[in-house]
Amino acid sequence: MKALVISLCSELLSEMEFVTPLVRIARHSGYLVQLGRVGEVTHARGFDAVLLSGTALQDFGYLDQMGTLSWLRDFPGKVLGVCAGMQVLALLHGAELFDCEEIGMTEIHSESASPLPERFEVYALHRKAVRGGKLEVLGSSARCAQVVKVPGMEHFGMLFHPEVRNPELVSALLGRLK
Amino acid sequence: MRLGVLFSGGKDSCMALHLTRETGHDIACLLTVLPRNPESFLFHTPNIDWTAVPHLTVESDGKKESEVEDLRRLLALAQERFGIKGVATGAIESVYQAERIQRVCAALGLWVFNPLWKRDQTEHLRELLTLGFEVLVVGVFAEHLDEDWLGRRLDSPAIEELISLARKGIQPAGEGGELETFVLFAPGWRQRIQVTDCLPEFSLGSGILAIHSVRRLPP
Repeated sequence: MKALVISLCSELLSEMEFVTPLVRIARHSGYLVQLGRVGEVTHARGFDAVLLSGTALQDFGYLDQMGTLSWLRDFPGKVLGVCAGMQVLALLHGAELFDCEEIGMTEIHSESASPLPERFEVYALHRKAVRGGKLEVLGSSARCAQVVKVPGMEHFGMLFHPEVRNPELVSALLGRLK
Repeated sequence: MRLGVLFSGGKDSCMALHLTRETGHDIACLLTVLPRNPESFLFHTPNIDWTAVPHLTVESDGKKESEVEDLRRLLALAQERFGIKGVATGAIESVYQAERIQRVCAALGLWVFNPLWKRDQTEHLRELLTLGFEVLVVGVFAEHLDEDWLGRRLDSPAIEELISLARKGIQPAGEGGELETFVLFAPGWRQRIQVTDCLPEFSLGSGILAIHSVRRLPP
């Protein structure tokens, strides 16, 4: 199984924080991992899964690169967008962003039909959240949707940072999706 | 980007400094909140010249609840004096520490970089050695780390011993507060530190190495 991890970071120094941990989790989940950068990747042919990284709190450079990621909408494999990555995924499916800052540990309540635990603690680090669009909400904090799924596809978004306190969720999701 | 690096003189902040420099950022200053009452080798030691980077400090009043305000004062001062656009830190695991820094920086409009975040601690220790860091253990605060560790260099046998202590619950890089370190030399530094007078103080299972004087040598 091959995974493409796409960095949405504008700064190389941020990749050590937001991309490297995702690469490690994907490897531990049994994937061969290749790294790409937003703006440079134009497709993911030959890959079974695509992971989109988060970014620093001040970094919204990825919003200027949305046009280079439109192919993701129809990517037949699995997708996991983390934080900024979830925002990208949601925007591609008609959602909009709104100002919503959460920094630190927060609790998520999952929907009854969700494969997630009923309640769990996560590390959140975002200034924007998503609403609307053709998305199924699987879990939410008190402030906003935190886990979404694109109906009919194996495309998921997590607004929180699972690599910090919930790496098993990424592994489980990648595993389940296998 | 013009950055300040939160700096304690220990291995993690020195590695963060190294990575920040390696990725091409302009390091405007090192930033330290000083305890008002340091027993504290780390802060008494004349470390400003080690790295050829200005060192900005503010003094803490030592109260736990003032920590965030101390940090805010320091970072606001760095913005004003050095025009920093962001901050790099050596945080590896501590959500508590990372969250506080993120909040303060968000309020000030500063970027945050945590280049060691979630790094595998075993790999981290081995990389320090590979890159030529010279690191001294100056504090031990956990069972299985006795006074023989005070003043010990983190050379290959010491690192392998720390890694082997992981099965006894020790986090090898000391992320659980098990140990404190003091860097004598790191890549890019223009001086090497030699400790010339120090005294281990160990009791009730924990201790520090009080460093009273150092000599600066060419690298």
